[in-house]
Amino acid sequence: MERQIQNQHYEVYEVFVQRDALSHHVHVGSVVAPSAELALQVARENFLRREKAVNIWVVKQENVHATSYEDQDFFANQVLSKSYREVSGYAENARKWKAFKQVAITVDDLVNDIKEH
Amino acid sequence: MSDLELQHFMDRIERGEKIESTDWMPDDYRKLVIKQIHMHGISEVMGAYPEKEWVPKAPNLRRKLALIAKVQDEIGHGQLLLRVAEDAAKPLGKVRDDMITDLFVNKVKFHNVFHMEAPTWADAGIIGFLVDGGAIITQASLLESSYGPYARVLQRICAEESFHMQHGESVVLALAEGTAEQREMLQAAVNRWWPSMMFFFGPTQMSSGAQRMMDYKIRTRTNEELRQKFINRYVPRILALGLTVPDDKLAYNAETKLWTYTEPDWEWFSYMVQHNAGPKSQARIELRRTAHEGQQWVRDAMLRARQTVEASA
Repeated sequence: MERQIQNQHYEVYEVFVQRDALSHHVHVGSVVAPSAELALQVARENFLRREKAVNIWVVKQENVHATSYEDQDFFANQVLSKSYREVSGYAENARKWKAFKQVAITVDDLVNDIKEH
Repeated sequence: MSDLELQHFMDRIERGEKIESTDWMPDDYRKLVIKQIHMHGISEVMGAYPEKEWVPKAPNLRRKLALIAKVQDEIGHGQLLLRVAEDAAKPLGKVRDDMITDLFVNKVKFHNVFHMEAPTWADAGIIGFLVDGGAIITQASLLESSYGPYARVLQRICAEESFHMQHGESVVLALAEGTAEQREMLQAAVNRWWPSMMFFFGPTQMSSGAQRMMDYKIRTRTNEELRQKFINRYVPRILALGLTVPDDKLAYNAETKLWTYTEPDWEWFSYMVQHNAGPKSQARIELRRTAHEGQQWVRDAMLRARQTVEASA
């Protein structure tokens, strides 16, 4: 028993912190701990001595599945021009609206309308 | 390791890409990264000792709370850094316990400044002012490190160091505007720490290991560059407080934009760090050992509890 314990070590848990209810959990680092419960406490002491948060996840490092940094081909879907997907691809709208004696608006303008109600 | 692999790796470094623990890397890159971060992490932990000595003796409650917070930060930084070192050392099978116990058998060194005595309250202030100042300069330069996990963790550490810096300066400023006795105490502390700070950044002629770290961009600034930045920033501040710097060779050359200074006793400081032979080295290592070994039963109990849970599941 004693020998078994000596050959055992704490496990690595990756730590994800959610700053507020409208934020996603963000990876901040990792801790070693003997259990998930204690990993949560160590994570709080290591990463939240000052910053505020509403939730913490800890995930055993061995349970994280990741892409490879070296195999950037995985992200090949990002190399094509995607201007048709992006706001910046529609810059000419502003010039055209001007011809119709209107100014271009953005999604922020509509969101702000709601806020002003 | 094929030449092609190495070339590919060096190309990544040259392009300014960050290396991750799971990427292919040359063995000596991995070893240098582990050595650097292990030493950094253990230095954070040992750095808590000179300051913790002043927690019970802090002059008021606010100072006491701030000092406790600082000590807690240093231990926290140690844990974050050791975690990064462990991930790098995973293929070598090195775990937390090894990282900690290496200290007891002199397999990992810690910064020269933490071997020194902190006999007065002014020392607690000067540690925050000059030692943390020097540490921030070093750590800020490492934000550019080619080893991604190190650069990332240093962002958090540097942000917290900014509190340490303000705390140290606050203590120093209070003493500087205090009584003659307080100012004397402050000057004595500056005199005590200055040679240690000149040693802190390491010799101008860097070791082959340090040079290798530059080639790999694990670090990107020379020892002398960092020391010059430190002198340039802190000498005017010390003088502005009406204090003196204990170095009659200290002078700024406007042409070369470099400072001349008296070399610290390289031989003695190196010996001290290599052999843990400083005035407080052994006492602080002994405290660390007592804490680590004294709490072994708690760690064992935790592991046993986990076994019980798994067995009953």
